[in-house]
Amino acid sequence: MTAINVDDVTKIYGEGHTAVRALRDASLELRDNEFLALLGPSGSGKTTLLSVIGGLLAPTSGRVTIGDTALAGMSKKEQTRFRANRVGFVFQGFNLVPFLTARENMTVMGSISDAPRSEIEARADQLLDELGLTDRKNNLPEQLSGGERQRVAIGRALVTDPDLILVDEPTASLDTELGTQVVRLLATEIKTRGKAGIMVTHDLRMVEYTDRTVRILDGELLDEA
Amino acid sequence: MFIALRDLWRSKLRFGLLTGAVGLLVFLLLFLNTLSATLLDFFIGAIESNSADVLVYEETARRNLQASRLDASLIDDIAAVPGVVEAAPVGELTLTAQIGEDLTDLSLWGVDLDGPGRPAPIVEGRPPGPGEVVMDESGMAEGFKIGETITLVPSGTELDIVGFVRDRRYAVIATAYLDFAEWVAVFEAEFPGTPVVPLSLIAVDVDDGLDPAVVGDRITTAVAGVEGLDRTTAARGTPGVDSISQSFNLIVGITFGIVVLVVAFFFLILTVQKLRSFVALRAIGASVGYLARSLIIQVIALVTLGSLVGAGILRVATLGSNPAFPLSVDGRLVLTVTGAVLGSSILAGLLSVGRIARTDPADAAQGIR
Repeated sequence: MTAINVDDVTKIYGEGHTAVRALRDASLELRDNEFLALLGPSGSGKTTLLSVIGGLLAPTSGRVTIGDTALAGMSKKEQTRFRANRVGFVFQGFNLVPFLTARENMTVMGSISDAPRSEIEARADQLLDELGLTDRKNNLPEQLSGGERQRVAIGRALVTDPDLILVDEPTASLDTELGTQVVRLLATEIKTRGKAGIMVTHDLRMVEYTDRTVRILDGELLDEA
Repeated sequence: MFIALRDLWRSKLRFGLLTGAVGLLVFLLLFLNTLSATLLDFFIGAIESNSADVLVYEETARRNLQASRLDASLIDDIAAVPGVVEAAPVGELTLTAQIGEDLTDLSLWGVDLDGPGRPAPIVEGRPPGPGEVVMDESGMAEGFKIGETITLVPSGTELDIVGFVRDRRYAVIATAYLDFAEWVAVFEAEFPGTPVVPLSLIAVDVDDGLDPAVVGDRITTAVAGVEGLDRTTAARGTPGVDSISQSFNLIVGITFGIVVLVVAFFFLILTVQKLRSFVALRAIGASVGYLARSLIIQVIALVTLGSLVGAGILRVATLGSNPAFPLSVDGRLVLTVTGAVLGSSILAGLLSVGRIARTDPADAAQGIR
């Protein structure tokens, strides 16, 4: 079943002389249980495309459909609920909440999403175990290593059992060994749960853990690698 | 609630310090209000808590009891005004009195012990008879005791203290009440040769259900040369009361503003510091309402705790207050001040909510490119 359908999406920042075309007529389709690598250099539009798919940014034109839900026409409130319940984000800078422990950074989703709190807590404990973080669950982000923080961010993305996992440069601040370990873990979690996932990266070594790779350059999606 | 309480718990020092600061400012607010209320009670308690419904002044006295001179013949004229049940004379003299070896100021009131203006309620002892007085109970802390004798200076008139009455102090000095006929005798002894002893006021009781202010107006209209006022208007109209109230209100208002600004700026600074977290939370699906509730919960927790700290300090301060000028914790005042600070702080917290609402969740992804 088609999990994501990006149809002819264009995103332009600014207006007039200052307008920047970040995405040009991008089209993409992703199925359930499929993990896709979006490969491109800095400034190519990878993160913009990820943000448009995740309902963080509205496209200037074109259409994005997640499962049977079209993002166009959604109110801000509906977009927020959509992100809380159906999308799991792993941001490049982890973006963990500094005053919440590793476990709380996951269970906070129990008060944000519509999923029952008890369900979120049980799933958080399971994910902490799977991600090898059980011993670190009561530590604050500042007490965790870069790899551990990245794993917490992955756990937070998965804890609501979303339809779609969007990951932005998961290896950017990790060394090669740790980066590989994190991406392998991510791929395992996505495939085990049968989710659709997109990983933005510019690191060619990581694409071997994905099902397919799409290149992006100057906002245009190129032929699949 | 989830992030609000955890943030509070994990930033105990930061929030604790602000709670302390709010507590001190709330204490200052409570203390100033208490001081103002006690000072005004001591200044005009005899008027504000008088047992009469209406007090009648000489028209040109401009509501100054000590400048008011009324002729006793006016009592009958006033008693004839519709709505008046009874009218009685009141005299006031400010004298020097000797108690033991000490000299003190004394406000001596002559009243009809059974009529309007009677000293009530007697909280200790009994009503005065000939050669006797009851005193405002605040006199106890100044060394006045039942059974002691006050000697008026220079006449040497002796008056025995036989009881204490509540909330009837005047002009912030010891205040005593005796029968009006006795007071006339004191007046004549203090000012020998005075042809006529003038009344300071005429105290009036009005029919049940009638508004004293309305009856006061009727008296003003019906009787030439007098002004009839209900107790509250008479008390608030006493010269000096406005200045005292305005001065305290100004200081209280400024302090109140400082409390609210401190809370507002604190939360705004915290919000700016935590903006990255708020952006991330919005990106993963937290609504502005959710984050606003968290912030407001923190404001409520902090101001409530701060108010408790302020009330606690006030309690300690009142325990150590001078018995002659006793300060006490008024629960209603604490609730009112806490409510006002809380309401205003929540409004001030909306500044921070506005800042959160202006964040763009896309920055969580875009901002770190």
